[in-house]
Amino acid sequence: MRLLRAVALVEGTAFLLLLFIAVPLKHLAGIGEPALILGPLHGVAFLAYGWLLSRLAIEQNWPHGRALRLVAIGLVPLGAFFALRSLSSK
Amino acid sequence: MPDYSLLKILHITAASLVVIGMLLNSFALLRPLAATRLATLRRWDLFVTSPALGAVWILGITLAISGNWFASGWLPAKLAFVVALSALHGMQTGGLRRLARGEAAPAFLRFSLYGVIVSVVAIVLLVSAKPF
Repeated sequence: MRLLRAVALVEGTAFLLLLFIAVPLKHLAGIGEPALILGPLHGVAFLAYGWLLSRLAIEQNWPHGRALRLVAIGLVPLGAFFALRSLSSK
Repeated sequence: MPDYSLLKILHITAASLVVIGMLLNSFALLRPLAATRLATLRRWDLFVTSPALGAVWILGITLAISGNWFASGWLPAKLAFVVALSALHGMQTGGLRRLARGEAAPAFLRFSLYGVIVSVVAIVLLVSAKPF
């Protein structure tokens, strides 16, 4: 669970930095390097987040839908931080 | 950026290790294994299959960037199968952990073999034919 929370934090932070800093820098200022680093980082972090959620959902026999809900909220900006709250409260 | 051919060789090697590991996991979830064999399989998964899956993600994204493949239509379709296969591997490892604790794995994981085969065939077709 600790690893999942750490990955969710990385995923959420990378997503926010990508969306609000790297993408505007690329399209408004023509500086593409931050997006080139943060894009792959966010991609790998999201895959790791989904993988860990799948493992924990089966291992700890989570109720149906909880893992799907946590994956779905990881797809939206700030969603991973809500997932963190949900994972910390249970 | 490393050589594209070298990245491709490493990516295919890592993907092959993932497929072999996931097929082994599928058989273990299909029929009960002796405790020692289950422990060996879980060690194989921890030290070979799971790191290979991480390598597949990193090498795949690097290949997609260096080959400019994100502009192609087949790549998002392939990524959907990669995400599904990764989630299936996560579920398999969760199931194996439950078996190691002496609990039953969820019944639907008995069909994970078919999920692995369908996803691998779809990925190979999309990558080799690049239909769109």
